[in-house]
Amino acid sequence: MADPTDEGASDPSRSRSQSGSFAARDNAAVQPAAFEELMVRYQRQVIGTALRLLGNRDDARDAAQEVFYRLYKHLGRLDPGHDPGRWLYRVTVNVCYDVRRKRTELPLAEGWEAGTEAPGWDASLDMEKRRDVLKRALRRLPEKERAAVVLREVEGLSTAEVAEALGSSEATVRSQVSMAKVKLRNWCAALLGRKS
Amino acid sequence: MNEREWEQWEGALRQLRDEPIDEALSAEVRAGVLARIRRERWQRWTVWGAAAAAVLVALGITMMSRAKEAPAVQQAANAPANSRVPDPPHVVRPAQPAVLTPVAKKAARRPRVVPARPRLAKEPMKIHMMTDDPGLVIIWLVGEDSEGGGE
Repeated sequence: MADPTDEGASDPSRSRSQSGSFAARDNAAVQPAAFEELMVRYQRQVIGTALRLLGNRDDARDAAQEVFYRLYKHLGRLDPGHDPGRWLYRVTVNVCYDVRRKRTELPLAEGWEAGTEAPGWDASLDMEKRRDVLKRALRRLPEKERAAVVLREVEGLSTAEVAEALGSSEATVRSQVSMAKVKLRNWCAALLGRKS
Repeated sequence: MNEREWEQWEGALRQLRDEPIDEALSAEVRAGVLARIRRERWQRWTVWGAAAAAVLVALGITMMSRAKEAPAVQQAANAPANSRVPDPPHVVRPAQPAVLTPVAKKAARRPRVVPARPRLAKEPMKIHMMTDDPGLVIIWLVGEDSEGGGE
């Protein structure tokens, strides 16, 4: 199934897929079945972001459901000239913050603490293992830095778009991303038993 | 960790975006949202339906009460004159207009009762009778118990 959100920000075909999503959006305001089509278009963006921000499946599911429900409620109020994807990023981040606040304590990355070396892992770690380590490291970041680095580095948004989604300035976003990357680098180096 | 190694980690970070989302999770999310939308729609329709039903019931009650009132008024207006209860003494009926338009309103109107003036029983009634002669006036006293007499 085609997913317009898989396309990069500079992809010229993005506008074409967006116009398709607008038609679906207009229809979705009336028909729940058409709204399901809209959810399929944006599920990777919303669920993926929620998973990386919250770090567990159940919370991500609850957050994604809340985000899509808000999308349904706000369909008529959204500017038809704009891609709802950016609006969805902002709502996803806010809902994830809310979900996190409802949890009294989030479990840290299980079985791994900074400074402890994972046996048998070295620089030749394959990508899958690296991604696993990074996902755990992301969960250790403060929530604002995590949101900034997830939107900027993982989702590939521009600094301005991240700033809009987070409701902060571009300078703040740059600072948060920079800080987050330093921490990630240190944790990964610690995992490998090397100095960064 | 040197720059080259960190670049590999950054590449892995960017690849997180391409990780497939569990289809079961996606389906669960969609089903949950649609169920919530349907539930909300159903609740909305229930509220509107209840409100509409309440309005209809109120309307029906109003119509029924008006329908009950109308025949009673109509009966009173159409009743024959001889079947009426005789008028009480000293009742002055208002002059009836030539055309009775709204039957119900006119029929519902109650006759105005004028209180009878107290009459002095012993004081005779005086009737002044003027004659051709301005100096001569005949005064006729009429009492209750007498036939009357001239003066």
